[in-house]
Formats: sequence, C-alpha cells, structure tokens
Amino acid sequence: MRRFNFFGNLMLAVCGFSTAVLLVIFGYICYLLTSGVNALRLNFLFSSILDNGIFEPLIGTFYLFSGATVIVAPVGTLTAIYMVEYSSRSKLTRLVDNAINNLACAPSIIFGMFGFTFFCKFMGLGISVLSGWLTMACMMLPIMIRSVEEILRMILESVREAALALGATKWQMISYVILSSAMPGILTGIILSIARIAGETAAVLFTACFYTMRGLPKTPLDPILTLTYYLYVMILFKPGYLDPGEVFGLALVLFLLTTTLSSIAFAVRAYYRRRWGRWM
Amino acid sequence: METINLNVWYGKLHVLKDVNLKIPSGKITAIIGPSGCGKSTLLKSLNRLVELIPETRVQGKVMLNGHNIYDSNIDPIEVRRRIGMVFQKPNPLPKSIFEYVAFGLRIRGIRGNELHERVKKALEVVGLWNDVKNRLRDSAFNLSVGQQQRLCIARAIVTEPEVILMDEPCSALDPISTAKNRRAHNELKKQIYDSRSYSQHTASI
Repeated sequence: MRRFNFFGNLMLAVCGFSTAVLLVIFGYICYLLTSGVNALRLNFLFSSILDNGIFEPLIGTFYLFSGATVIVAPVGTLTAIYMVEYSSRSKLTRLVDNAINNLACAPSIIFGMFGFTFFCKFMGLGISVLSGWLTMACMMLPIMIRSVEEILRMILESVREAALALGATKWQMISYVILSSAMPGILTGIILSIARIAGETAAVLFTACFYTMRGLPKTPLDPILTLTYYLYVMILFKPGYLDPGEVFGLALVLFLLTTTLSSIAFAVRAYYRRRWGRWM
Repeated sequence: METINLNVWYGKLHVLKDVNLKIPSGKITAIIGPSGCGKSTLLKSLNRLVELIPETRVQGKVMLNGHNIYDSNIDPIEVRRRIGMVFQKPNPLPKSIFEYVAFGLRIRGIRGNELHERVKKALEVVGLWNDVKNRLRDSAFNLSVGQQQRLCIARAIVTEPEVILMDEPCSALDPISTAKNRRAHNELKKQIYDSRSYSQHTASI
C-alpha cells in the first residue's frame, strides 16, 4: 500500500513538474509575442539590414529552404519508394533503415560539420548557398523518407493487387496509383522537413552564412544570411545594433514562420484524410 | 482455358494439388467450395497474380488459346491484361470515378475520345452510368459498397479481356446489390462477351 502511494505521488510530482515547465515555455512565447509584436511593421520586414530591417535574412531563409526542398523532395520520395516497393528485407535495407532513424535525430551541428568538411572543403563549394542547400537537404532527407515511407506502408495490399491485376507494370502501378495515394505523405514530408530546417542555425552556421555578406546572393556560390543566423549574430556579437524590441520581432518572425509551416503540414494531412478516407 | 496438373505452394503449404480443369469459352463457370479450400488461389493462379505473393511456387500448366501462360517467354503483364479480375471486396483505387475505370485503358496508352467512349460503355453495362454520369470527377469512395463493386467490374471489363475472373464478387454485398450485380453479369454475358470465356467464382449465390 505504501509503495503504491509512493509511486502515485512520484508520478504526480513528475506530471506537475512537466506541466510547470510547459507553462513557463508558454509564458515565454507569450512574452515573445507581446514584446516582438510592436516591431512587426512592413518597414522592418522589407528594409535592408543596413537600415535596421530584416529583408535579406528573411528572403535568405526562403531561398535556402526552397532550394533544399527542390533537392530533397524527389530524392526522398524515390528512396522511400525503393525501400517499400522494391527492396526485400535484407540486412542492407535494415542497415539503411537504422541509418535513417539515427540521422533523423542526429544533432544539427554534426550535419553542419559534415557539410563544412564535405561540401565546403572537399568539394570546394566554399561557404555558399549551394553548400547550405546540400547540407540542409541531408538534414531533411530522413524526415522526408520517413513520412513517405509511412504512408506507402499504409496503402492496402489490395490496391497494389488491383492495379497489377489490370495488367499494370510495377512502374505504372507506382506512378499512377501509389504516387497519387502517397501525395499527402509527400506534401507533409516536405512541409515537416522545411519546418525542421527553417529554424536551423547550426547547419547553416558553417556552410552558408557569412556575416559580412551584404545584399542578396547573386549566384548559388555566394554566401547568404538567414533569420536564425542573423538572430544569433545580433544577440552574441552585435548587442545594441537592433533595439531589444526589434530582436524580439526577429525572433517572433522566425517563430511564426516555423509554426505556420507545421500548421500547413497538419492542414494538408487533414484535408487528404477527409478526401481519401482510409489512406491516411 | 484449361489447367493441367496445376500445383501451388505457399512456402511449405501445398494449396492446390494437381488441378485439372477445363473452362469452356463463352460461359460462366462457377467454382464452389468451403472457405480456405483454395478457390481464390486457383483464380489468382489463372492470371499469374499468385506469383506476387512472397514464397509462392507454381507448377503445371495453364493453357489459354493453346499457350501456357506460365511459359518462360510469356510476360505476366500481358497475361494480366488479357485476363481481368474482380476481387472479393471492392478495392478502389484512390482516384475519381472516371479515372478509376479508365486506369486499365490509360496504362495501355488509350486516350481522348476512345477512352471516354469505352469508359461510358463499361459503366452502362454494369448499370452505373445513370447513377454516376454527373459526378465522374468525385472520389469513388463516396459510392456505396455495391456500387463500388460494380465499378470494379466496369474496371475489369473496360479493357475487353478474354477471360474475367470473379472472386466472390457478391459476398460483401446485401441481397439487392447482389441482384443488381447479377443483372450486370448477365448483361455482360449477353452484350459483349458472347464468344468469350467468362469464369466466375461464387460460393454464396
């Protein structure tokens, strides 16, 4: 009886503690919203960093993740299709499977280091948008593969059977039937992986960003600024350059960007779930 | 169509043992037996769909127009294009009603007017055209199970296969849908498939 009570109380304490932590974080977000909201003027968003704006980092963030998405979407989708539709459960596929799981939760600074040594130095791309794209694509890949794989495994065997029974070749089955049913998985995969890297600092820190960069990159071999990197620099190296309100505004823009992306991911998933019922 | 000493194994399980069966052309042949006796396996081995199940081994011959469909120089894709199949449960493709029926034609490269005409004709044969003609772009999931099953039949006949295999097409349906389905089968037999073999597998009719 005493033992039971002890565990009961322990659990209560753990729950209470985690609730308290969540409340503190939630409180901080509210603080962020209220302190940053005054800085959110079009003027702030669309003027150059030289005029105390955030135009270059804002555009840079979109530029970086759209490029990385263009790389990762086809590669991730095809990998997932290979894993589900073609590969047999061999030792190699299990190895790849484990590698994907581990990569999905690897710290982003490791990706940054990898990108720096491999893309910037070894391949000679330097600190550039292109290196940033490739490094980010590496980070997005596991999430992308997982989301598509998940949905491919949900497609009923009878659907594949139906397509093949009509005389479809394997590739016709995949391109006409499997891909269209996997579309929600592909879209959520894209958006979730963007949401992961949109808030990414470490991966671009070594590979794509250069503080002395001014203006927008002219070629993919130029460096770039992102919101996260700019925030990092503003807090650590240039305190006082922006007003505190503007620093919070910058953080708020970043926060809104990532939450919007994840909400879009959920909305897309919900839309397809309603539309195609049992596939999601 | 004829099977000669057909044997099928799933792993170590010997499912079909020396099946010798003649299926006459232009008639409905029904195969009856208790569940688990291998009816579905037999049907699936008639269009080589059985080969897609892992660890399956097939021995013996299945003759269609004098050719063994299991010959090494015969393409299973071609076999499945000539032998249509309707499954026990409707297994809709995640597509609109029109695309659903058109799928078999599209993968053969048929487009444009011919595609539309043939889809319309197939839907008329199964008695669905009037129900769905105004919502061809809707998802096929919005149809009732009976309608979905007739859609599956339309999907199988639209390519005008030489043989149609039906694996208990009515077992998931209520009696009224069953009656409609059977009407569709009879229409089928009368209208287009006079000269063709048409084998059906129903335990419950």
